[in-house]
Amino acid sequence: MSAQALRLSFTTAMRADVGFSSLFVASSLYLFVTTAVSTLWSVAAGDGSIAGYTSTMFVWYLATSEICTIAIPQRVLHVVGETIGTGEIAAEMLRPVPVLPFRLAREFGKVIPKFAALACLGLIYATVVTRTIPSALGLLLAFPSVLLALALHVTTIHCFAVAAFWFRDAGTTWFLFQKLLFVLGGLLIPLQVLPDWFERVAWLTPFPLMAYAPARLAAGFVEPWLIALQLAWIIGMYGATRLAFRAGERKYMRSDG
Amino acid sequence: MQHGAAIDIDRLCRRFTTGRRRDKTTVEAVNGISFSVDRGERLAFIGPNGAGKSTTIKMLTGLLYPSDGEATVLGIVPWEHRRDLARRIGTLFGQRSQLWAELPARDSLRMLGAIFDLRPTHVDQRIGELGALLGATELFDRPVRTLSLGQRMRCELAAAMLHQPDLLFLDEPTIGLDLLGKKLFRELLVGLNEELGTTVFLTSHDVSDIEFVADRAIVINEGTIIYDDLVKQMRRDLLATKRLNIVYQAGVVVDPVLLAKPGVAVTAVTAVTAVTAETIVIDIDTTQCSVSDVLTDALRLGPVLDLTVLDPPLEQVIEEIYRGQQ
Repeated sequence: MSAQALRLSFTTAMRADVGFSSLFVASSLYLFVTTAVSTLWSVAAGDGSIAGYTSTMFVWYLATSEICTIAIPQRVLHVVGETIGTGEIAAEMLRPVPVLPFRLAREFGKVIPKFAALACLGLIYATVVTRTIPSALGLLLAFPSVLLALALHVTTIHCFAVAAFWFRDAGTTWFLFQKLLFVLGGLLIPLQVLPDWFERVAWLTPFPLMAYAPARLAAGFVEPWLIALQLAWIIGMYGATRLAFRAGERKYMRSDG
Repeated sequence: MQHGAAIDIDRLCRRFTTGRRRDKTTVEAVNGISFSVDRGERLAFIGPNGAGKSTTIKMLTGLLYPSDGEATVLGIVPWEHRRDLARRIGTLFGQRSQLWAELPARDSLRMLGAIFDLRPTHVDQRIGELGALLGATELFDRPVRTLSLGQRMRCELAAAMLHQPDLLFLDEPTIGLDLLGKKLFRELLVGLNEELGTTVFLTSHDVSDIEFVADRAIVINEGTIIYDDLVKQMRRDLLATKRLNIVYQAGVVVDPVLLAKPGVAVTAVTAVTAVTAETIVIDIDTTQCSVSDVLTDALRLGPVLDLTVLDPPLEQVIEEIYRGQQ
């Protein structure tokens, strides 16, 4: 398997998914959610802070966490599951390379145009609204952290979608994934706002690293260990997904075809 | 098992179990089939839905383990070395695309080239060669979603042939194509086989695909091979009947007696509507009389509004085979 093939898979997907309408929809959704929720927070926090987040910090938090989720179409898990469940995955299995790395490169490639558009929008939005940057270093760390969050997100989606090899349908796991991400990922509310036990449970899963980690960095908390943890989870999740995919392919060859 | 054959199958079986616990039933999708395909041969592997064609193709491409039996494809056991085999075979499934809809086919071809470890200069050279061979050079630069189905299938064929496979598996490649598209696609397949020596393994429901592309036909039904012979022979045995549907302008007096010659049977003369047109259906035994002779006579009867020449449906061919066996 060559790096050239992975690179081309990534860049081809990136170019294929640049569409004005999808970027427009993503941007509109982004601005709406970010404005609505940060307004609520500023009303609740007033001049003070909630769980260590002032209104300014929260705008940066939310602007970043929303990039991490809106850049990835949530139906992607369903689509990956359908590709497996309906047997369309066979076309990918008929290539002389492992299926998973190419799927990941391709799906990650699709995310990049939306990430780029939303990152520009988010940077302008948060700067205009708050007229300040909580921490330049934090913001600098947030950029690679968002990319790692997206990579972890795409990998975890595939880990959930593997269920379709056995159940033919990833609809249930899609639903479960969305709820877990929403609750444990700190999408709209930082984890510190949740009860201690809940936060401890969240850290046992990869979900906080898909949104909360980069958002916290952008909010001004300079905690580089979050990036190290993201890297560790990506490696672990990739290994687990690869094993699951292999088992799924064997199952497919034994009983489905 | 023969050595040096492109495909060699020996008593290949595939059973599927469906249902749970008490309701469990076992279906023999492929039931001990044996045959071999020579390198450079063009084989049509045909049968009705559920006959076992796709299951056989899946085993031969390494997507499915067999329940029993052996098979080698280009000397490789497919289900043991699927990725090694993938470098040497091309696949084209009529319903599934290898190309990105939003991008020009050239981009997808370059990506596929990288997947097959071809050097970028070699990929561009191959794209040029295939473009010339398939008459698709200018199509490669248009987004795939803007192409007609026939044009897209030419690009799909280029994708399947990019890495110069020794063997091409085609599963219903002409499905959905119009008459001209089918004709062109069949000519391309024959051209590829003659120029590059690529072995062709074709499944289709369309009897014409078999007639115009294959040298040999294997008919499978309920998991068992029921016919295996040269298409020339099959044509003599089973595909000798053509059905002509002619719609004449209203007012034409259709006199079936004019068409009375050996091997010609006027099956029906139907008024389509009382005012507009009249249809005549003629079955021709092509071993006794040529289609063009009958057409010449039929055209003399009066102005023709519409005319179609039909093959016997596959089901009828299979029925004929059973009748012959009995």
